[in-house]
Amino acid sequence: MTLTVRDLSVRLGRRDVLTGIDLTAREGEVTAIIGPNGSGKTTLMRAITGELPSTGGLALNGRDIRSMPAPLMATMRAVLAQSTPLSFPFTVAEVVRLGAEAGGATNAAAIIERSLARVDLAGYGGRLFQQLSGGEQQRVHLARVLAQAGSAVGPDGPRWLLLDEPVSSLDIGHQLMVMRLARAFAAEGGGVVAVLHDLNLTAAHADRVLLLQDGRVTAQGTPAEVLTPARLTVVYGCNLQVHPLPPRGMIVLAREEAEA
Amino acid sequence: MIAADPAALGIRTDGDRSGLARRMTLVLVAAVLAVSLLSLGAGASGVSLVDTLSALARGEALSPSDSLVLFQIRLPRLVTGLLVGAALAVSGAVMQGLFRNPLADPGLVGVSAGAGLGAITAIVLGGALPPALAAAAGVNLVPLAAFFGGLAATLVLHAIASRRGRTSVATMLLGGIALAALTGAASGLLIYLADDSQLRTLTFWSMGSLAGASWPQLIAAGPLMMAALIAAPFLARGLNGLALGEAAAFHMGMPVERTKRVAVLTVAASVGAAVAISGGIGFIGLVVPHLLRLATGPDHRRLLPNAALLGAVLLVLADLVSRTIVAPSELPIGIITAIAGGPVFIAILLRQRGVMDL
Ligand SMILES: Nc1ncnc2c1ncn2[C@@H]1O[C@H](COP(=O)(O)OP(=O)(O)OP(=O)(O)O)[C@@H](O)[C@H]1O
Ligand SMILES: [Mg+2]
Repeated sequence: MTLTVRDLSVRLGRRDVLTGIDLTAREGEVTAIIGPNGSGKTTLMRAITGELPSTGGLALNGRDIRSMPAPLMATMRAVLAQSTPLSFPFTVAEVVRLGAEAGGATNAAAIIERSLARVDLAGYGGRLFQQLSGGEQQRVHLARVLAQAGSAVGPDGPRWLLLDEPVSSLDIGHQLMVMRLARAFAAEGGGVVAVLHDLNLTAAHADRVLLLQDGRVTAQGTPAEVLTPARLTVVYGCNLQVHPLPPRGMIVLAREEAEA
Repeated sequence: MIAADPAALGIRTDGDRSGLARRMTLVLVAAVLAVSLLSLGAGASGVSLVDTLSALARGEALSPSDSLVLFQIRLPRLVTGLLVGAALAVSGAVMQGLFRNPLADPGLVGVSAGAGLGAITAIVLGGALPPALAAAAGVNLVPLAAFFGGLAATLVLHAIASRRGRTSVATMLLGGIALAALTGAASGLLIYLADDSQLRTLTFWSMGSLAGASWPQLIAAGPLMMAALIAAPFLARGLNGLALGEAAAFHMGMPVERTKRVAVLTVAASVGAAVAISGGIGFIGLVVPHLLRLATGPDHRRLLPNAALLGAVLLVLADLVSRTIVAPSELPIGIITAIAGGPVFIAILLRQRGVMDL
């Protein structure tokens, strides 16, 4: 089962923000979307969630996303947006409960507790969301998304986590925790698509990488295929070195040139 | 909105406030019964509820005048008060959920003013309608006109304040002020055009009072007023989702567009009918949801029904004060809700000062 994007284009206002995107994300894998600011990563995620109008093919587990009713889709994929505003003083547990109920949970209380524990927020249920730190708030939303997804495989096939910059305000320990959660979800048979900025995290944890630039796919493949120094230097406009890191992965370093 | 320490608010360590909210419902149901009895028993005529009930219990018939006071004056007034209070409070809560902002009170953002303009138009220009149409509308003309006025104001406001699923508070409040000023000017023009008998009706109406409550009036405006109450259970889940923004609500499978449409229509109906029947009664829609969110949290599945109950209680109490404090004459009820509600509004603003740039 796959999440398939075929020749996808998105127009926002008068701008062609995405053009001719092809992507196949597989169950059991973590697919990373990388690219500079404004390259269209969020737009691609929003098109995949069905939130933005787009042209081209868009299928989840073989079913056309655009003709799927929202409640059904909510049981097949859970989405972490790049930012999620919250009005009104909800407790942490109440926020996570929204996800649990959207996923059709029957024993919400247990799922809330388990989801909070998985993002290292056990015991935070009674806190008010608005009184948490930025990174804690991001992890609460992640717990909400995990609670919505529930198990990695559902009645309609593998479930999908669509995460837009899930580690953007997390410390290094919690960044790793989130990447391990993603890997575990994939290992259990689900699929994960995540927008990442950290190339080292991408190299270490993604199975496949999609590199976007100016709304087009520049490269696609395994981290080793995509993350080459020459390509990264062009796309990101700075001098980047890539060193292999045995047994698996690599490390990307920025090297400041001494100005001549 | 920033709230106080969770422990001080009685929040359990697991963050589940549903038990708290259910207990609140029980207390409020008891309160509705209590103020209802109080309201039926009090009034200028001196008919005592205790005497009446004990007479009924002894199997005696009521005197015709007592029966008239109870069933034709106090009872319709009580039911009107309960309905208006419930409608205004639920409308406030729904609107705040829709705009994702605790300051979105129909009275503050021009929806009541729009409904008022509709009502005034119907009173002043209703005579100019084709007779067939006027006959068809009948006693419903003023409530219907108020509904369309409130609907127009809500739609304009939503169009002004919301862009790409985000609502700007500043734009909403300023847009509301502009709307209220515009509708106020139009209303002023109509009042200028009104003849003497229409002026009497208008003055009576604009004082904001339940004194005119009667069964025929209730039958005309009651069903419209109940729109938001009936819709509330179907809106609650969607409004909860909207608290995380339209995108997240959609991701969680909530019917976003339907929720918005139903919310706008039913708020317009309820506020329109409430304004048509009771004039401008402010602050109920602002204060009631705010107090309840503090006490039992923002989950709309419990906030909306509890708001209906608390709104009913507060409005009947305000009405009780309005007709007993200067008895045998009456104080307009709007004055009382404003005296009680104004300070709460200021308190909300003060709490929010640090978090929201207005
Ligand atoms: N509603 C919109 N109307 C017009 N242009 C838009 C709109 N939303 C985004 N864009 C533009 O589309 C481009 C891609 O935006 P997008 O948010 O997808 O970038 P991104 O890759 O997620 O960037 P970042 O790394 O900063 O999150 C940007 O140039 C942005 O300015
Ligand atoms: Mg982005």
